[in-house]
Amino acid sequence: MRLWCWPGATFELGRLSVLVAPPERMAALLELPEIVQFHTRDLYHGLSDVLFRVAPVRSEHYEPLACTTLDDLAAAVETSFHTVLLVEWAPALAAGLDAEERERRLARLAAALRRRAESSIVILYAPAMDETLRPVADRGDRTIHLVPAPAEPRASVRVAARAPGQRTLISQPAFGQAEP
Amino acid sequence: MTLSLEPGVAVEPGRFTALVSPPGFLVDVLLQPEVDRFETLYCYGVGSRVLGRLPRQAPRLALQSCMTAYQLLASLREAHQSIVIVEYDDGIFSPLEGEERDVIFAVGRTLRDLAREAAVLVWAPRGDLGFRALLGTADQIVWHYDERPARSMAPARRRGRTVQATLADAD
Repeated sequence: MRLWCWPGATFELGRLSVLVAPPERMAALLELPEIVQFHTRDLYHGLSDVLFRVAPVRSEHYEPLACTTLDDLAAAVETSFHTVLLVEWAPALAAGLDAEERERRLARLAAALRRRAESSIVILYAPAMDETLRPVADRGDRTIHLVPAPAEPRASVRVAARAPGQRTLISQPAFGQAEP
Repeated sequence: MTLSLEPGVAVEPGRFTALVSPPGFLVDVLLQPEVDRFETLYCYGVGSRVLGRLPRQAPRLALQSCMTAYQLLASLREAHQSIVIVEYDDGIFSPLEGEERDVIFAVGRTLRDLAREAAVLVWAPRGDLGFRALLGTADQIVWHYDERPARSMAPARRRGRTVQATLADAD
């Protein structure tokens, strides 16, 4: 079994994958039929940046779960029996921890994710790479960055580019002098 | 030594990186000062889509044209440079059939081994079937994509056009 995400990212059993992409790509992943066909656990912190983008997933096999701390997240990963495990990363999970404590807990989380990845599809998703995610990503098998092309300039900018050159103050007639 | 691809994303030793992007993006990578400072090997197929766009060639950049996948494999096994960049050419992988396709996986494994000591980057303009086989061994994939919908081929409606007549009206 494998999950495929446009434009070409593939997620398969036995591999811990880190996906850095716009939320729309992760939302598209949630709409795959495999998500409701197999037992899936979706972990997120606070308000998910992905779930509101998709229609509610109505399946007894799909289990969204909010986690407030890194320990909650690690525990949810360790107790998971699901075929697909989706983890939505938030830097706030590691907020308020000193560097040593943060490193210790991130190592525990990475070890738990790696163990789960031996028998299930594990995707750690983040909209952007950050310093708290990097230690976990370095322990993963693969990191996938999906980078959308920059948007085209707006029409108003193009109109401005076609406009004649702006006159400087020097070219303006001095105050009180008549314009020739 | 690292080559920067994106903010926070770099090609560095210990991590085999694959890049899917327009050619101009790889040109920018090749113009980074690290390519001037370190010995760099650039492998390409029958022709290159990138080298012709370079405004100048780095002094330590060694170019290697590979006409077959086996030649690419041999070049990679002999590589000793600090930076190795491979321009994927579907023309040398697509003729492979059956058991011959194993050489694609051999290339992938060799790139992964090479990445232990060198910064290794494989570039392709799009994700072809052979390139996706190479992606299986990559530690890091950077995929630039265009999510804008393709322009409609239908002619644009002109203002003031008459209302379309139905068959009943045409009588």
